[in-house]
Amino acid sequence: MTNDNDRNTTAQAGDASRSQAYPRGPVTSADDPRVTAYALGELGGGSASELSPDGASELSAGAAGELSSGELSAAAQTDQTEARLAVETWLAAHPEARDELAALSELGNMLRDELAAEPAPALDVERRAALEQALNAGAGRPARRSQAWRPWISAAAVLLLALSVVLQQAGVFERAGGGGSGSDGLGSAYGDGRDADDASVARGDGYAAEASSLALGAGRDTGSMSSRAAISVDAPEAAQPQVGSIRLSESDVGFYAFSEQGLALIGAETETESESLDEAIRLFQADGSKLPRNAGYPRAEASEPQSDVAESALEAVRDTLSPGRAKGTPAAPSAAPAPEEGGVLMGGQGGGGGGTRIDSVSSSPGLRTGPGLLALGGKLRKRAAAPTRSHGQTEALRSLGYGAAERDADDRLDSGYRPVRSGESYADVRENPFVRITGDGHSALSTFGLDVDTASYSNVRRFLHRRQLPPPESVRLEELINAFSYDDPAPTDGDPLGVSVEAAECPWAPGHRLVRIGIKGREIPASQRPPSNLVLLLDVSGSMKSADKLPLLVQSMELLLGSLRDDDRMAIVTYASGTKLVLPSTPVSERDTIVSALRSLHADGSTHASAGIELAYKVATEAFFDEGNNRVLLATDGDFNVGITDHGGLHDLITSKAQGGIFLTVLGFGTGNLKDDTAELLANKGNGNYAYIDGLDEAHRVLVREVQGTLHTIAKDVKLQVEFNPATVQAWRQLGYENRALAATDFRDDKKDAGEVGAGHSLTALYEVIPVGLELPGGTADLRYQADGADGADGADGADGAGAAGAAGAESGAGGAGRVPHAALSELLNVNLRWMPASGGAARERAFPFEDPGRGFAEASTDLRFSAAVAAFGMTLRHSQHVGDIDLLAVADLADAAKGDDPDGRRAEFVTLARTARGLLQR
Amino acid sequence: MPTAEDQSWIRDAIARYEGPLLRYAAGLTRDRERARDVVQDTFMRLCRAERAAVERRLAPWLYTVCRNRAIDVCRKEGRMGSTTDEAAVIGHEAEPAAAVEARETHSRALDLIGRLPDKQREVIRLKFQSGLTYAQIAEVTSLSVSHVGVLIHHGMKTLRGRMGALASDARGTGS
Repeated sequence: MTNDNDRNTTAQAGDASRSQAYPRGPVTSADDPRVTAYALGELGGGSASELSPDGASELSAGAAGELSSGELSAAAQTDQTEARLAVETWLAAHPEARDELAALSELGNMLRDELAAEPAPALDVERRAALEQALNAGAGRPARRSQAWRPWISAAAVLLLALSVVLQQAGVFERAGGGGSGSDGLGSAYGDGRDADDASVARGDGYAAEASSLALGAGRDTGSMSSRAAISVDAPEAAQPQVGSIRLSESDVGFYAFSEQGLALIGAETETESESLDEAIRLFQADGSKLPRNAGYPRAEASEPQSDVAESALEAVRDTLSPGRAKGTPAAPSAAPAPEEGGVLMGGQGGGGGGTRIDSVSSSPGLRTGPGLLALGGKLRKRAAAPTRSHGQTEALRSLGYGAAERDADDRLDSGYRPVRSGESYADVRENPFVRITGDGHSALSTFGLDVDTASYSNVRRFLHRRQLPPPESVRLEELINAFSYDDPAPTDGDPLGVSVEAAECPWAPGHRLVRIGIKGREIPASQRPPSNLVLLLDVSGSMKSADKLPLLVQSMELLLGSLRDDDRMAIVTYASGTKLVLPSTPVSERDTIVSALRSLHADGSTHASAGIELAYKVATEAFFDEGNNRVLLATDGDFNVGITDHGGLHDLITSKAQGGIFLTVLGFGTGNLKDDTAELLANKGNGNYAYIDGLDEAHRVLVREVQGTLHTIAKDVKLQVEFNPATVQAWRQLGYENRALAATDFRDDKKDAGEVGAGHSLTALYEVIPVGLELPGGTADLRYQADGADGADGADGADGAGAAGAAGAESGAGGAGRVPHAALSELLNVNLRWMPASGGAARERAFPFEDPGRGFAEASTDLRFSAAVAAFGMTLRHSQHVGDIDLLAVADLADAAKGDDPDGRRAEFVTLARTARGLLQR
Repeated sequence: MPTAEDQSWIRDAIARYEGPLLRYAAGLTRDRERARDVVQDTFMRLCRAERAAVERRLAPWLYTVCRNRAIDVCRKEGRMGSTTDEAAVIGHEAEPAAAVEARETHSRALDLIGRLPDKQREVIRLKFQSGLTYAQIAEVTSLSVSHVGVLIHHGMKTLRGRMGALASDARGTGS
């Protein structure tokens, strides 16, 4: 090993000076750098762990190409190979050393996670502008930060103040010109000068600290948020928020910021140091992280708001907290994250004896939520694992008129936190092409299995909230569309599933028809649901420590607990360096025991998942409900690969348990390690579903609102086969479900696994159809079948070749001979639905033929129009060639017009996401 | 004079590498303002560089230029900045009250990384934060691949040791 410390850097020297890349000789112990290199994947040819060599930590997959190992010379590659062989030889002789490799790899992942979560600094305004000028001028070194910018800044400021008055912007933000960082509490929290950027980022802010025009959570007034764009940062003064304190309980003090506009709770602190706290308020952001603990706010003064608005808001908070009301009856255990305009929600939750409980919803016009500020009663834990300022707080402050300046979404020099993913993996992108109907019966059939996973939507949301475009392969159209609920009618005549079909003109391809097939599962009242035996299988390895992982997970599980009945059962198995049965299967009537077991969890150690999974299934088997719902809920940040040496074995285990009636649901948390493809695969094998929990809002949706569906399967192996009528259809294309496609003959093969539908679930499948009489897009590569003289435009000819076309009644089959019955000639398609009853028995099948009344897009239902917008959004993010030039702003407007009632605000949230994505795409 | 397409490529590069390079430079210069100067200079050089020569190996090129510039700046203006606290320089500047809190949680690893010897720390960050391979790290830092491997090996060993010690402390105090 040479000591090259003093070497000057010149142009890259030839390999001669580095030819001996690794030491020679056999490997004799784990204390050899080659072993470490091997564990980290540096020696090529795959490492002992499942994880691929990095190169994607801070650089996108595209950039990884820049760092390809094609850079290695032949000599270097030989060295690498020799080193690898030496390590492998040693490993063969010492198989127990694989543990060491796993530990190294796990440490590497953890380091990657921690480092990825570190806030990224940004260049300041002046230097940015200098760069921009250099770019435009093409040469030269303009002045850096200097006084020369001041007049420009002031002029801009004047202009902006004028603008802000016009726009009624409370959010104009002024920056001080001075450098340095304040050291008093408020000063540096809100920054001065260009440090406002860094200060807000330095708060450990896990999300875009500025320039975010998103409204998280429910019921936001998205109009005002997005109109807050186009504000420059250049202006002299920094406004500091007014802060007051309010007693929340005997031992807890909360802090609020107030302004003319109102009041927002932004912090809380425990005054006593003792462990035995009274019940107190626990405040959460919508992203699941706790509010900061005394982020520098002065404790002594309790300034009172001066404005009427803020004052009445403070009164409302006080009323809610007053002892008289506080000790009331327990309310719904989960506070619905759908505050009324400007309200703060406080909900109570039991747990332990005595103490203060807050249990009423309080709303007041001046009380700001910041997106999704929730308060759940419960013990205020001493060690809050919260960043000192998070997105929710930033938003709350912004709604009051404070906060860092925002930039126009189109501003290319937008700064802000841009965390990057590392170690995440996704399946490849494939897009369904157009299928042209020819004489072959199968070309008129589309067969697929249903899917209720929704992880892709929350995952995409996670990226967009961080001002990043999601990787195209993480965008699954059907999951985006199914993340919303639709108004399809419930099934009649005792079936568990009902189907409705609608068609309208396709908004991105005039002349084409867009067909929406809605499938609805029957609602079952909670009391009639069979009892549930749940085993939580929780990853508590070191990498789960961050606020968006284990703490959010524990909160989510408490939400779930709140929606279970007393006769349900829950057990908790954890896996980290070891496997532990933290809680044997316990009836939910003993809630307190379960809650304290959940709260005892802490993250530490490396991941050993396989033993955990086996134990979880064992516990589930022992507590099995014969007529009930038995399920393992696996919650992880993705790294459950490490420690599993036998993937085939794992898949077999999961599949056989599912056949025996124990299903598997996968819940993903956190960033940087999400093995999205594996999670989805395991959930499929386990006859369960896969959801990605990016915040308390989503946890509430999956584990409370939709818990009936998540926990109670009413139909298994649900498949659809859509037959298109060649008399009316030339070509068709399915939007999404690429991962679910089945062969036409699989439709009646009851051994083929497909998706499960839960009680109350609604699902959508979309098709783009090219009707007869239209010019086919000749130049595109969409068509699978080339024109060979068979002219699909001639209805009669098409009809007799395609035996499968539009057979009347329930009977449908591929390859059945015979002519199309006259009555069916004008139908567009026939939907065949097939499923296995959840309680066992033979498969059932129903058919739903459909005739297209020829509506224009504007006449279609809100459900069709909204799902079309979501599809267009997804296709744009996947760089689909089918979506044409459609602009996401138009898509957002379309979705906005089709929101309908939108009781939970999810559709409105989508509108904002679409606008954000458009801004990102423009760069 | 760069074309519009070149400009757009440069802007993308700036957007993508700004944060990482700032972190890297801050680790070398220990002073935030200097780090920003260094990174600005790096991107200025990018504006003047010939795209074809640089494009294929953009990341190592950027890090190398950044490093050289940082060394120059430190030589000229004196080595240490105003603080020896790496985290503060990079921009964590937590409030005094909350600083301990923040450290106690998931920044434990970051804290330990900050306490590694200079070379180990630099190399560990390049590996696990910037995602460079050993070969690229060697190129950027002018060390041999072997030396890089040794530094990473020792660094990880130290981290494991210290984290293990912390964990058993934590268990001991029943947290």
